[in-house]
Amino acid sequence: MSEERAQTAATTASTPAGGAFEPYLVFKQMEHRGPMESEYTVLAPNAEMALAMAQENFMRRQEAPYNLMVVRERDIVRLPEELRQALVRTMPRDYRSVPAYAHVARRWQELKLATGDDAPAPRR
Amino acid sequence: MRSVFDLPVEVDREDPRYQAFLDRIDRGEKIEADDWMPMDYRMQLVKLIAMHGISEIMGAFPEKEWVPRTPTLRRKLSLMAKVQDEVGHGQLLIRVAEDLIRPLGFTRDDLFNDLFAGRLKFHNVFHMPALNFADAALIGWLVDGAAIVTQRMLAQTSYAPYARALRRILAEERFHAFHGEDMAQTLAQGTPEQKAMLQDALNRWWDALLMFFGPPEHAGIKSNQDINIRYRIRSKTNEELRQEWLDKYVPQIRALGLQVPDETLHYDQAQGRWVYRHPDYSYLKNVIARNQGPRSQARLALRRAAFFDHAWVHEALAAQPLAAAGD
Repeated sequence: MSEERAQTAATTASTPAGGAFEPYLVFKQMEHRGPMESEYTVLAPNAEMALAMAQENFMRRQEAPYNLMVVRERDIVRLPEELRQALVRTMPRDYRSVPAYAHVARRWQELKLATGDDAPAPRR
Repeated sequence: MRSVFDLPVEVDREDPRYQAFLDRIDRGEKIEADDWMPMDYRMQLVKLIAMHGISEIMGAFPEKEWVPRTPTLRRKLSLMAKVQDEVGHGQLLIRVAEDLIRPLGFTRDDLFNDLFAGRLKFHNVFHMPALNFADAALIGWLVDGAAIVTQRMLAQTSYAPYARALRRILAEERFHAFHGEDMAQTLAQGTPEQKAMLQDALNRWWDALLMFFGPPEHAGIKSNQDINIRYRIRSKTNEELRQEWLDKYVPQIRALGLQVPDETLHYDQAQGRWVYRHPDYSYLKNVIARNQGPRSQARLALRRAAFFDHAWVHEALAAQPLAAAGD
């Protein structure tokens, strides 16, 4: 079996009707407002079945998630490795970071001491 | 022209889904975009989030005017980054609003048409002129400060997509606040002319800053506070937010040696609140809501120009092949 055919066989499976199942990535969300985490793939004829299979095959043995999501693998577009270099920042950007403004908090303290701080007691 | 704001807001309170929805809200659960929600909840969110989103963009206009004239490269970089952030916040929020209006058959274009037609409002402070660099400093210091007070409360909202967007926005607002405070401190400690500029800016902006939070309860002005609090879209009243803002910023204003332009302002220890002269809130309804503020039409013209000047981006995108159905 050629490498290409082996790859195809690993990611698709024939249906009785002659169509091909496709891999779907399963994402789970463990708690409300939690992140969607990529889990594994299932081979399914459509998204509805992929969702049912994800639930039946895997979720029975795990702690119940809050929600599930499936996405057909070929619908996901990833940045190629050689282009990921562009994500690395080369210019310093400390002017937009909070620690770069530490002097501001210090100056407020000095100014309030100098003028007499009339701040009310915290209400919260 | 059709508008999402013209849709009838009918709620069947006998619908069992309505009580289940209220129970979820009362348990502190968050609502997602694809969850069932009553029409008045959806429309309150659309009004609030679309106004918030468009205000972020309209707010970038008075600030960006000062980027070319900002002293020092570092401050220029900082102000540019802030303006970029504000437009980014607008994009994030308008996406949240779009997800709410899509099931009703409306799109982002409809929201912008509502803005131009005066049906979608933007925040009162962005109808104001930014006359000199002290105004740019004051916007970063006190206007952003007011926005942070409001957004921190809204980050606890019952609508999960808005809460998620606000978490991201608040993280960036921390830098904006320091950026504004740094400029205000520098001007106040600079030459007498610089300090006078900042005092003049404060005098001109004071009423608008108080109005930012909206009218107090029982001021005889129609507001959506009650329903928004019932639905836990918000958790504090306009007046509670204004008091929080005064808590933080009056001491800062005084520490800079500036005078609040209200001789009646004082902190009442017994009541645990600031006593001050209220601005004329009818200005919000009679002038701002009608886009008749000092810079209302000029800012709307900037937004229209931005749309037409960048029409080529829309056209270039539209010329791209569409993904085939089922792809």
